[in-house]
Amino acid sequence: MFASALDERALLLKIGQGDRDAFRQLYDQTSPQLFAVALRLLRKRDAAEEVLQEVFLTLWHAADQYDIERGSVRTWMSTITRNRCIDRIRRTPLETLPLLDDDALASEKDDPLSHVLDQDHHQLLSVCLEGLDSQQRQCVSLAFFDGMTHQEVAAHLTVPLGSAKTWIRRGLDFLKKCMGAI
Amino acid sequence: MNTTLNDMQREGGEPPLNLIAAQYVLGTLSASARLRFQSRLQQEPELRALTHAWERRLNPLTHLLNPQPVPIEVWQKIEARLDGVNLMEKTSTTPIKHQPHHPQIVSNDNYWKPFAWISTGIAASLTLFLFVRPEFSTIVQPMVAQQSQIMRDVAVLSTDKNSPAWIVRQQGQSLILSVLNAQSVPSDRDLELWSIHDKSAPRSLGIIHLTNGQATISKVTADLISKDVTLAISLEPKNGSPTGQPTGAVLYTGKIIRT
Repeated sequence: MFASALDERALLLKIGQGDRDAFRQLYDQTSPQLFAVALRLLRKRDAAEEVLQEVFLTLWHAADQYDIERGSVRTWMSTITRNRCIDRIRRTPLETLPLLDDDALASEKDDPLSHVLDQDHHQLLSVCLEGLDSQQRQCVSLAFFDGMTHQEVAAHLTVPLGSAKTWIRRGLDFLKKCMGAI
Repeated sequence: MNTTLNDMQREGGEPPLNLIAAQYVLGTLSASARLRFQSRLQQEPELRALTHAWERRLNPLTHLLNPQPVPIEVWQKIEARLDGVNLMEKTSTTPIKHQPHHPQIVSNDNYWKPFAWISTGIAASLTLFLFVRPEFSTIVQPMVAQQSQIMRDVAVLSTDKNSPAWIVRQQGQSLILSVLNAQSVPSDRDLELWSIHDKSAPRSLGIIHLTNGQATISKVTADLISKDVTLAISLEPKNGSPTGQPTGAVLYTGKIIRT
């Protein structure tokens, strides 16, 4: 697992030197995961495809700016993708769009952690997620995966805004304490 | 770092930085709060550090989603955009109407202005776009306070068959070497790392003592890993070259990519 994270760093370094083959390889390795992220957040295929293009064009031009402070290459790419998507949906509110069907949702049955990288503490994250109570987990999930604001989470769950905010804050607080200083 | 988000609540009702950073990464901030946060990010190193910590904590959650097949057109469009940019960078004076990648725009005079902007400014604007994005601003702006902790990739060392074998990272005055795919070393030999600059004689950076696939070489001065340097690893007798110059086979080499 360690090697695959480093492999992606090696690819990124090559991409920074203008290596199109390395670019294609990293695209093949990471785009389906990033597409899932974008599809789930944006709920529209054409928008998700556009974001994916933007993300990889960004990566091509900024590969040499990767910093380990941002986590693994994969995590950094997830960050870029999520930021792009969230910027978009804040410009176009979600209320008119339905949540995506379950096929793009997290599936805990088929061991989604099996392919992830140890350097980002995924096992720890998984354990910590288990420690959230169901309300906290649901709120965090609606915000993180579905791109909802506090207000949208509250409306979706038909609970007062204050409750949604508190659950989210407590959920984040628990994750921070559980995961320690990473 | 043990302070909780609640404990960090500041007097005066302003949410604590750490909570705002967490909410930014989680994605719950409103459009205007998000924009304000992004502009603060560029100016406040403390906020960036908190934000990056939340990115490392939360964004691996994306790996919980099942990968989705990507339509082939996405890659084709990326390639076309790359080729388009390259073409324009090389031939910036080429008349716009001859650009092959936007025929639907070229055929319509009403689109002349935006297209002129696209064709003449795409490389520059893309660059600007990249650099003003918050996720990159941290790298563009110096982070003096944290400089010593930051670990940066500086080189990939490959075999003579161009197969990547080592990643070299820099942290302060140390280099951290991680094995990707290197052959094992006989017990009576050691690997030694060298800095080669132009036609000067190689200078030894030290012996590579591997622990769990990693080795640290300390006290590396900046001139030994400056931009024009090639790093090389040679196979030497135990405890390193007796002559101060490489005596055995050079197994891996790679140029410094950034310093």
